[in-house]
Amino acid sequence: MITPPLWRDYRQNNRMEAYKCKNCGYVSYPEKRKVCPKCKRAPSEFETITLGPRGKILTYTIAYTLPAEFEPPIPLAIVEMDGGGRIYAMVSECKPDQIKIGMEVELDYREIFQEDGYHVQSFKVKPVKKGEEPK
Amino acid sequence: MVQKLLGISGYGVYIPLHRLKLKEIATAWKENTQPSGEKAVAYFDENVLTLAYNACRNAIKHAAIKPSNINALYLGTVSSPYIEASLAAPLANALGLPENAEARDFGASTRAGTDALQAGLDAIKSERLENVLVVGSDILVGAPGTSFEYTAGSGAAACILSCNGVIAEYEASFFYTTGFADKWRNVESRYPLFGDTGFIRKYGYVEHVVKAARGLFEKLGDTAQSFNHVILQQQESRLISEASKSLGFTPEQLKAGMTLENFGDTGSASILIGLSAILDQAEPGQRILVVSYGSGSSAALSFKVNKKIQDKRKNSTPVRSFKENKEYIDYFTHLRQNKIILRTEQ
Amino acid sequence: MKNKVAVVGAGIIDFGVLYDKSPDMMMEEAYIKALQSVDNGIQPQEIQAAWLGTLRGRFTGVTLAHPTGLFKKPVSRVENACATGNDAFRHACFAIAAGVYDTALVIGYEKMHDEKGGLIKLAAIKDIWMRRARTMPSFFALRATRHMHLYGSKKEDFALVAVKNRHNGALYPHAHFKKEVTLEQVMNAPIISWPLGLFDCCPTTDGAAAVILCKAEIAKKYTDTPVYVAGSGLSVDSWTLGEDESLVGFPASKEASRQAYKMAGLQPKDIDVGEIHDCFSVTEILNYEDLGFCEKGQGHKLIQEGVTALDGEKPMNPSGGLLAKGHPIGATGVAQIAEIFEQLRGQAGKIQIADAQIGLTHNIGVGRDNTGSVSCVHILTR
Repeated sequence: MITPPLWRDYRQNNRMEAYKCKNCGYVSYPEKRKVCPKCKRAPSEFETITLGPRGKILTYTIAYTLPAEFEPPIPLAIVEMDGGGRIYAMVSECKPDQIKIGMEVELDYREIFQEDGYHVQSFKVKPVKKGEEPK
Repeated sequence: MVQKLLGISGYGVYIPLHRLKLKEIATAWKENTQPSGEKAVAYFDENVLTLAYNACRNAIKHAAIKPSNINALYLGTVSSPYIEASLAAPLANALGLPENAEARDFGASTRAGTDALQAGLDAIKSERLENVLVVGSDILVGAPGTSFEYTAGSGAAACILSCNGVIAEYEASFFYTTGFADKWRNVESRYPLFGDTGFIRKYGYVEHVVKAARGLFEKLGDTAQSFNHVILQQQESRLISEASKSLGFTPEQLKAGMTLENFGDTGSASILIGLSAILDQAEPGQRILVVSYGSGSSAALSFKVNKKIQDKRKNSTPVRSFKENKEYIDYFTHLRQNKIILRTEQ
Repeated sequence: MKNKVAVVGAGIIDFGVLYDKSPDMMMEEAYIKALQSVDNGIQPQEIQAAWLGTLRGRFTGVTLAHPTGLFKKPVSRVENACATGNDAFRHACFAIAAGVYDTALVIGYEKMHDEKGGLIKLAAIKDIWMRRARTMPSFFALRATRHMHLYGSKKEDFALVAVKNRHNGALYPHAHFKKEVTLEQVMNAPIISWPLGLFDCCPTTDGAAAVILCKAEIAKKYTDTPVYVAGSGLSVDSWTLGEDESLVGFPASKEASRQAYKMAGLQPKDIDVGEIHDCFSVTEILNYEDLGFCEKGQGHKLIQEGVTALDGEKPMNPSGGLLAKGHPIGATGVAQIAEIFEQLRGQAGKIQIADAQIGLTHNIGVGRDNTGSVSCVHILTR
């Protein structure tokens, strides 16, 4: 089912909506805040932005041991999105020997899990192919 | 009433990355055949909605339209995971359509994508709406070891319908409906059932596609040769060839829109994928015939290509790129990824 | 708060897979051991207050009252992720240093084997953020990869930590794993989350530990050799603040230890022995850097050169750390306090570090959506 937390965060999960502090430029994702954790201003004004569509991998690991619903090995990365904001993302269409720190990736809409048979989607990232333009 | 130019102002396709070679299925079931060809198969983290999302994003980019200017999203599928729960509505939200957008779900047969297309055209023609996003998306799954498994494919295609920036103008439609039942799937079943092969070929696909197309020829004063490109529901190669022979089409007319051997039967998306493939190469002034089929009814529609098509080509994601960009997987991985075989927790 | 609080007793039960022992049984065993460890004896009635440290254990302080009989007393339940044990101890120290209580008890416990499935199941929790295939190993593996990229550390360096700690654990009576592992075994073990393999990860363990503390002025009543709390530090943090250093280490550890060093008037070089949080092998290397034992990016040199081995200049985790003991979350920090207590009193048996005068305990914990979220550090002295 869709739960209150999933509905509250629908735009963050499905549109990569994020919030930028107008005072210090800190990008908050996915939390929609009134208090800026960086400059501490309470309240601060936040501007709604969209993360991506591309970013760079800051670090990664490759998960081999996972519950049955996953198809390991799955690279997991922390990605610095263009325009600000760091996100955690699974990496799709990427072999373990392909992934590198600094690699350019783009957002990829995928099914993340099922809750009581209701399918929940959000974004993973996948390597940018050479010469491809952003969506 | 002034007849405004109405039609497709942009299109986009999305096919999953993975392919399964048909001979892998034959080998697994020890069948004494050597089928050539392959089909597109979805990954464990793909579903009808994610495929549709990607196709829609490509169409939106091609049409150079802002999501906030789209008035409706019409989605057609026969492989929704739900018998009740919209896919069009959450997708409209995810794509950034405004809150006052209309969301409609079409289903019940592989005509669904084309049904959505017709409904979108009618809504704009009646001047109720201005810009409609239409998408067909299916992840078809055949029961392991059955003949349907050899064709059941995956894919999605979307188009923006509008009176602005039209690259392919809509001309007319003709329908042929008998309600013949060749394929059905009950709520509890994951896999469809089919009637006798020869019987359903004759009274199902072939009869309806032929009669719908001939009806449209008559209505418009056309013949089979009036159309440069033809896309028939990409269900099975024998059905396509019998219907097209009966109608008198040449292989050249069918070539651009054929995707069956690349992606398999993509169900509700098949017409729209084929239409996109045609539009990737069509030239201004050319005419396109599209004929859908599903569950005892066919719709034939015709389009005429506009010179605007060339300006917009650079923003399209061509179907060819999905034919070329692919990775093969083995049969067991496919069964596992699509939850045809499940690992139970101990 | 420096030197206002003394530890006068401690007890640790044997950690492991303890199907036969309920949470109550684990806590009472630790409690009895702690009482019996007080050199001049202590009456249960002398304990005026208690703090319970547990992550997923039962609610409320009364959970501690049942196995100890400490009803009609002020008992609080403390939780701070992997820093729970050290933080429960910190709470007790505050109360004593503030003069509210003279003598108090801290118990940490965790029962991890009463439920089916281990920590791997947590990767699939019904929460869109936790559900993204994240497991505890992956949180730390992310740091390992970047450390390797920036500083040239290798999977083998992490493996050396596992070899060292499993060697130590084989000498430590309370360890979950009492068998050594070879470098080859660690390097060839199945990968859990690259670059971490099976032996780079601590096991899933049940355990409990208890510590008795009192105000410094009365410590000599209980023992001639009390151990004093010289420094304490705690910090919460998040990688989402966007600091690059949080991708390759833990600012929380750095800040918590900075507070502890400052309170104690000491520096990293003064530490003789430490029980530091090696939930994964790479974590120990990052800890060396965060705790100031070496420059950023040089942690792997310490393990290569044997500096932190049992017979090295600055032994870390003589007990075998979490890699050998396991990580019964609420118990870990309290057990670390107990172990340093024994070290500083010369009672650590086969893992005794000669002339240990100043010891340090450290936890770094997972929280919110990643690790490095909380750290707690204590410095104890003779």
